[in-house]
Amino acid sequence: MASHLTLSIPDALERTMLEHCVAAYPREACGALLGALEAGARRVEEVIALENAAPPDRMDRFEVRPADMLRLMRCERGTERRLIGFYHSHPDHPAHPSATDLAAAWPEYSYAIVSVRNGVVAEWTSWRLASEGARYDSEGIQILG
Amino acid sequence: MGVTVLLPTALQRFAENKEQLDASGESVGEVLASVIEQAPQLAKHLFDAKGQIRSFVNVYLGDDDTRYLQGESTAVKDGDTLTIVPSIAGGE
Repeated sequence: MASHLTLSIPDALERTMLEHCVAAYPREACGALLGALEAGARRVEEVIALENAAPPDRMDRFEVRPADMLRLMRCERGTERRLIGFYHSHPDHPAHPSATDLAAAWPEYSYAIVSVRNGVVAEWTSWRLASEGARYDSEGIQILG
Repeated sequence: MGVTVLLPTALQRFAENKEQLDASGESVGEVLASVIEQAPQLAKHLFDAKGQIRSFVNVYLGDDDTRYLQGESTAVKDGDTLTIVPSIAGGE
């Protein structure tokens, strides 16, 4: 674990993210995290729930529609707020990146993963692609009251 | 005037932390080649081993995904804006 990596999130925004993941169960939920982007510590300032565009029969996948991603990128232009990462849920699976997650990961972004078991949040973790791109580094999570 | 290429946060550090690059070319492929000339480290993130645009990379001309136009052959003109839009996906 690269312990210098930290994702801070206000408790109200954490609740927004987790409630979305529970509401989507047993499908995967996904959304965007906007905030301040720094090398190590980063702070979530906005959580945006997104529609999971994966085919309906793929309960174990999520996809963000490229047009939605384009809109998010336009939101951050000319502002201090940056698209710092994404969250998605793993229904009835651990909050650990899968091979699918790793294959699709981009540098710089934080990837929060929420494990939802039987409709209840079990845990959540956050990850960032390691510089060589072959694995994830775990991010510390700080909940801000 | 050239073509403006907007980069996602994920790729800016491979382009000296720039949010956008000024490029030239008459097609999407030529503009991307111009981008790689300026920022060679972007190449592995934009292209696969065969030199094709990676499937995880979407290139928008204005509001249009060039995959549904003429792909890399899509014509561009001075003053256009291309946006590199990363595909975000995954799952258990």
